[in-house]
Amino acid sequence: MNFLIFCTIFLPFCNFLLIFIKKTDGEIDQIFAHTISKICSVIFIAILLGLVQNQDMPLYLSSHNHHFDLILKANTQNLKQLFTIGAIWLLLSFYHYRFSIVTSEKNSQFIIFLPLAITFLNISILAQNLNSLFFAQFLIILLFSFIFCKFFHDNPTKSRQKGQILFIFIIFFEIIAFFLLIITLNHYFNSPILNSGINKNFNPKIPLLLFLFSIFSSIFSLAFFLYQKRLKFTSTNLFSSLIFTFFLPKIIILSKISAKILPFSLISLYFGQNFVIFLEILFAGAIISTLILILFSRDFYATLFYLILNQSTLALLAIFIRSCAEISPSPQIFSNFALNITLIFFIFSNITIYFQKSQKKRLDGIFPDFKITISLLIFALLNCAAILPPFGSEIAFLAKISLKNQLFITFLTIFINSVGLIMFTYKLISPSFQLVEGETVPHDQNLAKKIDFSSQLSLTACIICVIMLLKEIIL
Amino acid sequence: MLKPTLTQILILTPIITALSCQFINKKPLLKAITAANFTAILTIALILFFKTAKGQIINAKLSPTLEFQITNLAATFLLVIFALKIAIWSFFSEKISKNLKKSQFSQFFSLISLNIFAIIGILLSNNLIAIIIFSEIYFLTLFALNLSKKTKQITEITLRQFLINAATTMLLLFCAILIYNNFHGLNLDIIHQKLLKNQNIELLQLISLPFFIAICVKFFSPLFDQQALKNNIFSSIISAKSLFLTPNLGIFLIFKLNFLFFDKIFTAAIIAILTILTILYSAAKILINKHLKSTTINFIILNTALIIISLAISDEKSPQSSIFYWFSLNFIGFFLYIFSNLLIFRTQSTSSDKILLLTLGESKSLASCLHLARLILPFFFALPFTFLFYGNYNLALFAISSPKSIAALAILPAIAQFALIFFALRLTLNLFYPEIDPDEYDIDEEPESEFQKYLATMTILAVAIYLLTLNPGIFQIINENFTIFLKKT
Repeated sequence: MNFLIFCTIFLPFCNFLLIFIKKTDGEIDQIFAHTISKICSVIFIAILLGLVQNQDMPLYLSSHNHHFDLILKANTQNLKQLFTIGAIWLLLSFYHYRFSIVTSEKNSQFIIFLPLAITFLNISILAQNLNSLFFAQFLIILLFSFIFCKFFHDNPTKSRQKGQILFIFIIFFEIIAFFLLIITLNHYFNSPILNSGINKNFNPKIPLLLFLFSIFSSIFSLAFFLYQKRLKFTSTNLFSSLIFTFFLPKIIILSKISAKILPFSLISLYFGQNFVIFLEILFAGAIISTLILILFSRDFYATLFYLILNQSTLALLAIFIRSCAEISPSPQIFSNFALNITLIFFIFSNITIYFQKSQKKRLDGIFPDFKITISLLIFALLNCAAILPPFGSEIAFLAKISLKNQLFITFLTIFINSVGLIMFTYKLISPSFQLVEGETVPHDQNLAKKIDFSSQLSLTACIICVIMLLKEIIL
Repeated sequence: MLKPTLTQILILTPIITALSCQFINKKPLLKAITAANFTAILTIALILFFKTAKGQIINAKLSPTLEFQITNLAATFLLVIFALKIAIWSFFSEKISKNLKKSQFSQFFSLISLNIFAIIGILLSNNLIAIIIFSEIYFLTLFALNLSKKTKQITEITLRQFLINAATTMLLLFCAILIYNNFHGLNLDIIHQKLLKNQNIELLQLISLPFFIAICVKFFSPLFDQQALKNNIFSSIISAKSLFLTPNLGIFLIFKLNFLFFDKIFTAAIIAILTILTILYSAAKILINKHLKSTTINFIILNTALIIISLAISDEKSPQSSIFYWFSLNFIGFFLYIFSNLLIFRTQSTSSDKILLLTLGESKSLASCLHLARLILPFFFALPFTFLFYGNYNLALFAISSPKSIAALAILPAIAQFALIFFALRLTLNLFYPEIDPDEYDIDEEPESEFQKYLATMTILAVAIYLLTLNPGIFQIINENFTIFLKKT
């Protein structure tokens, strides 16, 4: 048994268990939780360094009847993803401790859910066969639905409760669709290994439909459902659950299955080009509607949420288009997306702290006091708009292949999205450079400088930025 | 000197106990004799389980109609049913005996022993008429035990079940007479051999469906009565027997007599349709209902229906899924039952929203019970590596492997999985972050010993569940022998 792989999964789970056991009267011991998270994340990165040398030995977990075996294995590709997760885990542990103290954030279960989500995410990253992917996806969806039911709404009304239940139904249908997918493929091919693919001498119509349903049904319904008001936008629970238990797992599963098992190039073959266009329209609708919300939203933190939706859908679109064009999905999509979104989260949260504690509620004239944060914000937003690398290069490549394969709707969507986000960047950032009339409050100035030079609030964001730029060299 | 065999000891011990109880009037002595009876039977069942572990069959013929056959399947059922019986007995014995009059003691304990005798007879008989007779003895003793506390509701339900039982017995006897006339015997092995040689196939086509329906109605109809029972100790006892002991006997008979029901396509199809409707009904009830008691009942109905559909598919390997469902029914179902009883005992309610109230007060045993419930949550979700998941996975896989008309049945385990996930999520939300305000409730303190009983049972169940899941050795013995048994039949 590959002990290192076992530790990769077991360590974040241990972290979760320790924090859970140490809860007193239902309250998390924040100091203990954050300390143990930092220690565990450092050990996790150290284990990954060991795995770099020990890649070839897989970990087998066999079941009673040998039909449902788990196979986990490290390779260069998934090690990059694991390092990204490890780095984000470490930086989030530092960041969140300071954030929760400064904002007196109540009811945050972030620090307890994060290691649990990372456990399940690691299983899906290391998965080498469909059964392992299904196992991870099952656990992740359960965790997401639990957090969703408990922490997404503030005193939900009856109609919102019904909406919640409907959405839970949809995501459970996803598990069922995935379950039927693995049954179908295991029947034909007896637990296919992901990177070796399958013999396509069978009609993949039903597996394809099941696969599409299992990945996309909740994404398109999530945006619709969450447009309702009274969402707890300020909650870190929202960030962690959306990123670690919803979008990142979908990116992994979509990449792995569409690479060799069920490439989306089969859609045009078996369902016709019109079906591909229909899916393009769905993506375009999701991306552009989130873009409109970003541009016209007045709630600063809600903008973060819409930006997460926008970027996540774009990442999934990137994998979808690559698969339609029979190009294997780039592992960079996962890392770029995860790092960029985390960076945006850090910056938006810092600005939210500033708005909460100061008399100012707008970014007007703030740049002189908030140089680092605003600079990072510009970098992050232009990255989202595909102007700067590394995300920009991926989107540029996506635009190129969509033109080449005559997927004009996708090209148009990318173009409009980039333009829209540049406009948003200008709209958000330009007031910060304006000179403001009247006295500046010293307290506000000091607060801004404190946040800007805080090692836990700003340095973590800077480190993410550096990782993004030097990623290729580090890995 | 004649050396008694294990089979003879197994059969004669409860009869001797029943007779002895008639001459004893003192409660402690009666309890001791019954406990000794239980222990002896459980020990013999364990020995027989390991003796038949490699597929051996032990035959014993005491008379032309008293033909007994011990297979590993029968030994397993014997073990599980008696373990359940001991658990139920240890839970409720104090309360039952407090409510009995002194003159009823002997009668009550005699009936228990006779009931045990009937269970052994059903499980070991290899003769059709003997099975029917032992079934009658079982139900008559069961009804007599139920009526030891005559409330209006219990009397009505018992009378209804008595009438249903009488009707089904008539039907079974009629079928048995037809079989005897044509096969010139009622030994199950001989009947099966003749059917394999295609003798009297037309008769089988005529009686298989009525025979199957009679057995299902006889052994499974009490499941549907449990919802109506009020939440008190006597209803709980009746529920325990109707939810676990009686259906287990019915499931065993369906396994044993499967060659009569599922070899014919027409009969298998009708059975499949009825079972599909049952699965949809119970899955819908689990989705809608918040009450733990109702969910437990429907969970057992769902598992029973899935066992039957697994056998109905008649693929060579599909019965493997039925063994997983059977484990799920007995272990997970019983855990759920104990937990719902704990909730009723503490809060006089079965609503899962009230689970938080179990943490009120200072009882550490009660808090431990909640922790155990949290530990068993993965099994309620039917997560991969749990019994229910294997059952669903195997059933769906084998359904897809079958002809196109049956492939659609793969949706059934998916529906079951969906309903269970939804129920388990509701339970998880109440176990971890419940929404009721405990300060609004004022609950009396109960003695710690009451909660310790629940804790002990739940702990044993949890350990057994995890042992079976993580250590497949015993599981594989049962699985292999079961497959051999079904291939043979």
